[in-house]
Amino acid sequence: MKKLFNWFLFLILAAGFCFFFYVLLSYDYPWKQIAPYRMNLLRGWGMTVIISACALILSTLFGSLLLAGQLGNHRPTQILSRVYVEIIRGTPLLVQILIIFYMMADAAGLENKFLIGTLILSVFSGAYLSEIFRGGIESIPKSQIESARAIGLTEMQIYRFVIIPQAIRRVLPAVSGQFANLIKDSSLLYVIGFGEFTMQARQVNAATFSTFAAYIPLAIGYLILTIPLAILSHRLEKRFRYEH
Amino acid sequence: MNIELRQICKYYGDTHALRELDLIVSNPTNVLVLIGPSGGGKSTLMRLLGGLESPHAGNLLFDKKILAQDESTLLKHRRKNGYLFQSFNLFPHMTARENVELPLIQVHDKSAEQAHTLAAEALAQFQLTGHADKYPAQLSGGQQQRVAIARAIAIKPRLLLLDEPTSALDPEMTAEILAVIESLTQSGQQIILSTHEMGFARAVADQVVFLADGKIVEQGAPCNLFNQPESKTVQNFLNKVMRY
Ligand SMILES: Nc1ncnc2c1ncn2[C@@H]1O[C@H](COP(=O)(O)OP(=O)(O)O)[C@@H](O)[C@H]1O
Ligand SMILES: [Mg+2]
Repeated sequence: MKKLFNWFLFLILAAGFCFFFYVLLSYDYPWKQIAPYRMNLLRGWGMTVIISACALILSTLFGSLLLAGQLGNHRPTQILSRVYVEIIRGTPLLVQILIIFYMMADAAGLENKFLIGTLILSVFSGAYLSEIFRGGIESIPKSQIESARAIGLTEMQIYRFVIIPQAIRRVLPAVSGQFANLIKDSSLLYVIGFGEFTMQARQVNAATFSTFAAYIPLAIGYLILTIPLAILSHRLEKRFRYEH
Repeated sequence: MNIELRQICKYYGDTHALRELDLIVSNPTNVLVLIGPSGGGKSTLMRLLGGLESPHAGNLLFDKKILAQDESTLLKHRRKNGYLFQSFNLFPHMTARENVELPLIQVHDKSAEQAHTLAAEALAQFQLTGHADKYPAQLSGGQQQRVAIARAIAIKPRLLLLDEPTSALDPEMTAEILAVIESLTQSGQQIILSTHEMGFARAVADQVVFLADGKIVEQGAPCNLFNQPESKTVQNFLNKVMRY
């Protein structure tokens, strides 16, 4: 019965893949048309890498601050951090981009699209990271904190030497997964006209009077970034499992 | 040791872990052993003596001075003494050596070289030199407990508190740890030990305290308490645990 189900699943997946490649190959794919624009695509890809990396750093900072806000014992800060996280996680990124770009950035006098884009992604990803971090810290057993108190560490030292180093090991797989999300999510920044990968692909399509020619290279470009991260995430998970 | 407890009360919700407990232990007692049924309050008493928790009422006196219950006094108290739990004492992300060095460097202001030397001495004392660079997960339960004892001893504690240090170990490892503890008593280390190992308690104790229902039922020299217990509770308990 279980075997039958597995074969059933396999058939559906295989049929899906076959259909995909059939469509792809039966077309006379317009590689020639987009070839002259490869530098535009490459530049867009580079922009995506750069803005994702910047956003990762900034969102790690945001995530840590939000975490500190939630773990601290200042009730108002706790509540505000919580509200922030829930608002961000409860609304689509596209809506956040539109609101931040058309309302907030304007009011704050921000014009640089790279800066605004980085901020939007960091605001978004920071909320998710803070939840990942919180999960990591709360997963450290109470007995560790007890031992740390018993040897005379202060509360700050307990975080620094006992909780945080162990929590980091535990959250690394999830953080690398979040980085992959960040890379993919940055594609939505085309709506504000930021010249990242997806935006460039759309422009190439427009220039070649094609509706889709640049989309397959676009998908491949994202996979080149996300597959290594997926592998890294798996490796880290495995290593963590063996350590304990 | 010179310890006096006056009317100590400690609750956990509705549970009275300790009920108006009085205790006087004075020199020449070097080794105090707590015995009694599970749930009797041994661990709770140890945690108060170790400065890990505060009583709801009553006073603890060390060398005739009341131990104030503010966090900074308790921290100083914890730094003077060594404490060992049943298990999970070590930090899994640090090697045996790093576990021993951490309190020396971060709490007791030793330089890296001093800490290195002291840690090496402490590890050698418990036949752990060959295991210094292993992580806790690579050590047996008995070896882990020995590393934890080495860590507690390396700071030259005034008082060493051992809360059922062998309860999580198999008989062979138990024997190994009891031998280590016995050698510490012979070197003059002041120890408070809670245990279910009656034979060992009788052999090493200067004073034995029987704790049940959050109260001290009987206190005395081991030969008296084990051979001619006065109270019915102690008689029944000893009959039960010594039957086989
Ligand atoms: N952290 C705690 N929360 C709730 N109840 C506790 C806690 N610690 C101890 N108790 C209760 O206090 C009583 C004494 O426990 P304990 O001191 O651990 O006894 P012993 O070490 O002699 O077995 C028990 O009834 C136990 O259930
Ligand atoms: Mg106990």
